[in-house]
Amino acid sequence: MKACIVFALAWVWSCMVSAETINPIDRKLDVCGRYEVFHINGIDTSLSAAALNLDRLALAYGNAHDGHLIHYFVAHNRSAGFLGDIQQTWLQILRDFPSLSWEIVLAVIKGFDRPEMTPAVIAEIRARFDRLNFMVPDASGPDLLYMQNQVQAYHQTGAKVLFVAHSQGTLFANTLYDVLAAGSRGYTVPAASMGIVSVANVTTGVRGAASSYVTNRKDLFVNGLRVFVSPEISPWNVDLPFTLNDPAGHNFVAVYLAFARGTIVASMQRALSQVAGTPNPMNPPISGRLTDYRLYGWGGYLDCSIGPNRHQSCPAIDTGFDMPLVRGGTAVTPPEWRPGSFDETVALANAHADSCLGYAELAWQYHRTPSFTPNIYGYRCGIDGSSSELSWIFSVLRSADSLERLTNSSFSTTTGGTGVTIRGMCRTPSA
Amino acid sequence: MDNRKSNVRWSLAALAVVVVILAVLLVMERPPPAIASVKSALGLQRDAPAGVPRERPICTSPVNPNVAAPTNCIPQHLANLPPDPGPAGMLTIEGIDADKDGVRDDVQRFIAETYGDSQRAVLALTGLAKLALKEVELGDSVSKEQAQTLAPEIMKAAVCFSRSVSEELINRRASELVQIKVTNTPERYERLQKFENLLAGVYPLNTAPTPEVCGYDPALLPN
Repeated sequence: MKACIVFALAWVWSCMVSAETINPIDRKLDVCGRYEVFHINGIDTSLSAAALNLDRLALAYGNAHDGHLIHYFVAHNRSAGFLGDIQQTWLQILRDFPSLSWEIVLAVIKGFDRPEMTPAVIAEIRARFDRLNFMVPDASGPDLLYMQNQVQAYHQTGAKVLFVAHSQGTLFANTLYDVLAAGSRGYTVPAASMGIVSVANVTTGVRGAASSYVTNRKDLFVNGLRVFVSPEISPWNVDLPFTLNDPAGHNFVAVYLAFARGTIVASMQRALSQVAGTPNPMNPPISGRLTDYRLYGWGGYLDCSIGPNRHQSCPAIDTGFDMPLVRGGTAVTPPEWRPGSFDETVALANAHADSCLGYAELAWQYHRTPSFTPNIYGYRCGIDGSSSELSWIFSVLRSADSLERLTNSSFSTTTGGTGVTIRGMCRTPSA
Repeated sequence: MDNRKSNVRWSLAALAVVVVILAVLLVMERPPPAIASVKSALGLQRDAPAGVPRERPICTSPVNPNVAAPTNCIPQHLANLPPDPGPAGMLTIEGIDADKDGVRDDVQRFIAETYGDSQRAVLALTGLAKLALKEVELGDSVSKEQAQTLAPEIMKAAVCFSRSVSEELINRRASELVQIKVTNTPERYERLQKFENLLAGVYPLNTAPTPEVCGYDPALLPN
């Protein structure tokens, strides 16, 4: 009875744990902090299954943390060596149980119970494949090097990184953590910027102060590893209900996300809140009138109607207002405040920005007229006039609360004359 | 008097047991469609051979196989399916695709018979199946770079499935069952695994709106 009450409370709590899901147009900018979540799958997991895991995880957690959109990735590792072994085992089973088809055996291996077999036969089949389920991937060889290179390709300097690993994927997560923290392969991610949440943990512990794990008491794979491979494997810490969807109690979605969603989400929240970002190196201080902030925005203002490619179709460009020319990349010295054209702004940005990140995550100006004519143009990383960009601008401008919030967190406003200029920027740590 | 009452009770109880047994036998004889679908999917029950004209018309409205079976029409989701290829469909890697819709007939039938009550499920699972079949077809005959060009499509199909079907269906691991059906011989399984090994890498989650991910809007489908 006590266990039932505890589980019921845990279930209610897990339903109440609200993921942070925001409208992407209200997001804070990556240059003000970036969160990356890498899901590392376990053995014998296809890319589609890993992608399903990740999408369900993203739906459970939400698309954001602390107002920033989370960048989710699958780190799909291969089950090297698994294939040859599974075939040998299969051939032996075929000799011993000639009436069984491959399809039925495969289903049993993957944790489904089948009516064609008695529980005893199912147990026998699973036992024969146990050594495969208990295989330990080579998490330090070429597979790791390849995965590290791939992670680096998507990682942006200064971002906070969380590995959410399932089963044997935790071995990769731990090793990646060690290698990246040590910088032993010429690329460093500070240990304080990384965390791990292990689901169905098969290791003796997860790396990192912000890390934790969730293991089901009835997880037959982890229990088997504990018996046959190492008794030092971390003990179970959640007791989830049995489900026919996965009698083995191991599946990422059907067991862990279905019954321990709240625990996983809370672990991720804790980890993402504790890991520390690092100063963005593409953050050159700008001298002059805006010394309080490091600016990343640049923008142009057009006095014409909204629409795609409006700078091309616009009959006239209004140059009657100040236009900040600020960029991330090489310096424009001194920063300029002067009237100018949109095309001129674009040309300057193209000349001085050296990457999308260093470029400008946000660039826009707002010109308020008595009739609130939305004469605004957004330009971001070479993508001009996207509807989401414009919608976001409007949502900010139409809401004093929102404006205040942004002002207090990471943005600044200046008011002058008939117009209001809002610049996208991040406060420096000292600001 | 008491003995007579007792006899009546015993008779009623025996009658009830007989009725229950008869009901069970009837259900086994004419299983509900969901059971029939499973039996058929497992190859325990074969449909009429190809070419045999169907005696009943196709139902004019969708039928949920989890409720009462229609007696006067064939459920839409089971109509016009290619015949069960049986063991002949296992003889080659590519199997049999009689209706040339790009999905092996046994896989097509499995999806329709098991999840046919949901158009969203059928479309999403068919999308996943097509890509898994492609993986089986290619095996390790392509380079890693070539294989990885398929990864964004696989990611999209998985995300489409995740966002367009019920959580209950996801937790029943429908996508895995379809993949098991796709890899229903050791040779097919081996080729899929070899292709999966080529796919090892890091891929971003597709966060585009669901209609964009799926290529259609699941919300516009009736079920």
